[in-house]
Amino acid sequence: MTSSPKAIEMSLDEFILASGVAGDTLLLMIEEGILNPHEDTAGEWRFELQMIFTARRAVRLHRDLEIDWCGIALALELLDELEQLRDENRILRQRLGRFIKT
Amino acid sequence: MEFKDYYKILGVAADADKAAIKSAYRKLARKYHPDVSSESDAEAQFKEVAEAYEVLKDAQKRAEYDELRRYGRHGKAFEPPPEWQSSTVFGDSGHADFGGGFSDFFESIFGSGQPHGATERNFKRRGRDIELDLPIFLEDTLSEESIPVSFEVTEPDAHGQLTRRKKKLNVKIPAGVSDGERIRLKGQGSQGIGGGPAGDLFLRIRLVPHPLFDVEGHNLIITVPLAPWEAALGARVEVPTLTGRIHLTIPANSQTGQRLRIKGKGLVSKGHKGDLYAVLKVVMPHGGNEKSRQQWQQLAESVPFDPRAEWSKR
Repeated sequence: MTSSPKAIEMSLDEFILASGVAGDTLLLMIEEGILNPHEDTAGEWRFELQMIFTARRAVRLHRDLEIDWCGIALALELLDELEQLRDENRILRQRLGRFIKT
Repeated sequence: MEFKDYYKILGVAADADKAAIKSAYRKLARKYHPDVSSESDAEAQFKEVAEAYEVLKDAQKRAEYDELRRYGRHGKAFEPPPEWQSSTVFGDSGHADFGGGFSDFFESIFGSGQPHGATERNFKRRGRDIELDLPIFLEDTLSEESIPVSFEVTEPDAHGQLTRRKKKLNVKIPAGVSDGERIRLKGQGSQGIGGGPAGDLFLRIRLVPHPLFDVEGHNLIITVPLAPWEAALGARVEVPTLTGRIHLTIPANSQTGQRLRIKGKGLVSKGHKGDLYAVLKVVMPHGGNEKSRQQWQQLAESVPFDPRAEWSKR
């Protein structure tokens, strides 16, 4: 029923359908580096599954917090970094807990 | 139904101007927006704030609300007067994305915002996507596993009424999935409206923390407790892996914190296997008897060892 999610890549049209985000909005996001689709040999954009959620998140931030696309690019980068650091912190705490009693 | 004091929710005075309302909203939205906030009840808080702003930013809605506010108190029971009729046309603002839409209080004043064309024959809309967290045990990531998933979709029935329906699926989870990764099941979300395409089901993989193994990329880490003499003399100990127990040789004079690599016993990733690292931890026996005390005493006298030599270097 499913294949490896990493193998699933979408064309621009497929991505517009799957994400529900309008094409001209997607172009703005690509311009700002919020989305980085890679180009296939024919020069066509290919989108990864994970980008659906990045695009939707960007749309919500744009609408609800009234941030411009450039600011969203920065916000998303920092939020990703924060999430990674939190994950890392959680893992290190868990490992530390095996050595010292807290 | 409770009366909602939108001024109180935004923390502004009843005569606040547009700029003050906007600034209060933005401040609270940044704090509670589910896409940026780590507060546990962020979503509920943000909905309240968004709803308050939806009303107060619009001069006409605000005027109508002010009219009603003369009869209501925040948190107290409230019914709009029976002849109440909002003159504002409620558009699709989209704040309903996080599910649930606006409160009953809001809808009693301004309407439900259901698209008016929903029951018309030519109205077509794609079904809602469903997003679910799927907890997976580390053991189940090693090979393709079929995992039962049940969830609820909201779909129109034969009469066009939106109803909830439980769905069950057996989902093949490919080997080597990692924490946070998403899997898309095309067309398994809610059915479309008016013949529109069905939404998708997205499963977000959540690796269940293991009591013994810690995850580091696609490597695993296990802490191996050792008796002081095992660390000193070397030993052969049985170590659990995700796929059964193996024997591990501990070299003589091992230290706490030392890592031994057990090749290929980690997680699967893109066809190749990670490793398992055994991290050694020397532990003291509890208590002991007179004989063992004498033996430690002999060691203390015969081994020239300063464990705090580092300190005296300064």
